[in-house]
Amino acid sequence: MIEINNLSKNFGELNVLNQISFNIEKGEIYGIIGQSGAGKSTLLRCINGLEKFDSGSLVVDGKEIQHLKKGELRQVQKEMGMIFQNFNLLSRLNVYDNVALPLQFWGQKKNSPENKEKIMNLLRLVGLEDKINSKPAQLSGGQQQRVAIARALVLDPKILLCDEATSALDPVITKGILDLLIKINKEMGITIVVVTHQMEVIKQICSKVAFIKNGKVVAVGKPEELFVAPNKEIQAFVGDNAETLPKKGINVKLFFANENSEAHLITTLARTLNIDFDICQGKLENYRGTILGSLIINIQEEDKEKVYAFLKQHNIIWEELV
Amino acid sequence: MSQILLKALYETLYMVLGSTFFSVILGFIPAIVMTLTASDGLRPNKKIYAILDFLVNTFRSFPFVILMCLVTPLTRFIVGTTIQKTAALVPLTIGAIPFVARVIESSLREVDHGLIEAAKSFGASDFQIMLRVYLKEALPSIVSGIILVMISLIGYSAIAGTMGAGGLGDIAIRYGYQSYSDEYMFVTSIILIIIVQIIQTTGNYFYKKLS
Repeated sequence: MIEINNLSKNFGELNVLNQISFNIEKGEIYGIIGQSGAGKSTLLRCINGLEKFDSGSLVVDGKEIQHLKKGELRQVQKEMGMIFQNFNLLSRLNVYDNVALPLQFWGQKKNSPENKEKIMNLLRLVGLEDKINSKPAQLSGGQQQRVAIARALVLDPKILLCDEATSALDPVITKGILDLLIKINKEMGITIVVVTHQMEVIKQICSKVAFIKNGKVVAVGKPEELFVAPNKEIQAFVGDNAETLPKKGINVKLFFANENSEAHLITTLARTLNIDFDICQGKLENYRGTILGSLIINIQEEDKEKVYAFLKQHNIIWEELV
Repeated sequence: MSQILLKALYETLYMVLGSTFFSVILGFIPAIVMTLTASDGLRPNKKIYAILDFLVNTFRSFPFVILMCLVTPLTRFIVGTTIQKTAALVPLTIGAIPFVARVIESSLREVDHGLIEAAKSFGASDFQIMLRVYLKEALPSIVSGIILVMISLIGYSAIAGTMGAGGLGDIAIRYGYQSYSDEYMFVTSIILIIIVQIIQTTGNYFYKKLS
């Protein structure tokens, strides 16, 4: 649905995006993660033509965004809704009028029976049908973002772009917004592209993720692959370093990157091999309902071969930490 | 006395309201063009912006008395005379246009850029963004800016009054100052204070109501 190939962009001397390539399939919730200033928001704005880029290609639904004329670009933008970190609602318009605004941009009457029904349905979807006459200032951050989501859906888009949509919200409200995004993705079949620096967002909703650092894609894959067994770049981002591990013996990190993350593995290991070892760190995480995680154990030097053979036999991915 | 004051009050209101009306209409145009052509505007254009910016600054830097003398030929061309309240509308309007333009431009500039971006992301045209986002959001601030201009115009109208335009300023100078009548000086001052208070209070009411 969205194909990005060798896309580069400079702000003067500064290289913001460098040879970015990845594809987003229809119906996916695709995450773009990275630190502030990594270029991810700029990349998102290239998708709906708010930003131009210098080289490469970006094709949405078979159309090369950069080659579109102004009128054609507007038509493509109509098919992409967007929500923002600061919600960007008009302070002088009430909830209903804010949601109706994009319709008015497309020459439609905000109070025609069909538009009224449509807007009310959307406000029901986001759970704000009793707030239609409220002004944004009277709503909480989470409610404002819900209004923004309703507004982004009012033109029946195929794609929803989310720019740090939950970064200004607390964890409980964030969870509510993420559940809403999953619902929109499942029930309306809308492809969602999420730009964020929050690991939790990626874990909870994304089916695929691109990790961006200094304007480059450093990893692409499923979140569970990328974050349970992270490469060096991602470890640095997640802040996952092992400085608290014992100096003696060998530290082994076990990854439970698939469904057989059995709790019995550790006790079975001790019983079968009849050895002693310490458990140093453990982490279980929820990826869209699947529990995945990692565990670091400290074993004796002489048990190394036995333990590795056991792990291999049980199809466990492991890494010796040094 | 009341006859004289009533007539002067009418003349002052005529000049202030008339010149506010014309200067708002004429000041809106450069304000919108400057907003569009500013470096972060919808149609950035350095040249056009620089020219307008220069003109606004130049006209604002003239002391009103001097501006009034300078535009005398224009006043005579438009109105046919350079005295009386209607003639005063010309210099008052010309003096207020750059003021209005600057006030409206800064109101429009204060509109959160995120709103413009959101509107663009829904495929809004530049015209729609100007009308439905910029002007809509900036309206309370524009109203409060126009109130500021109106109150300044009361001061300008008094200056115009000393040069044959009539109005409360003229009464204060001729009767109060030159004929040593403390009574006239006092009463005209009180009336001017009341007018300013009424305008400001009305302005505040609308600002609150709109925002």
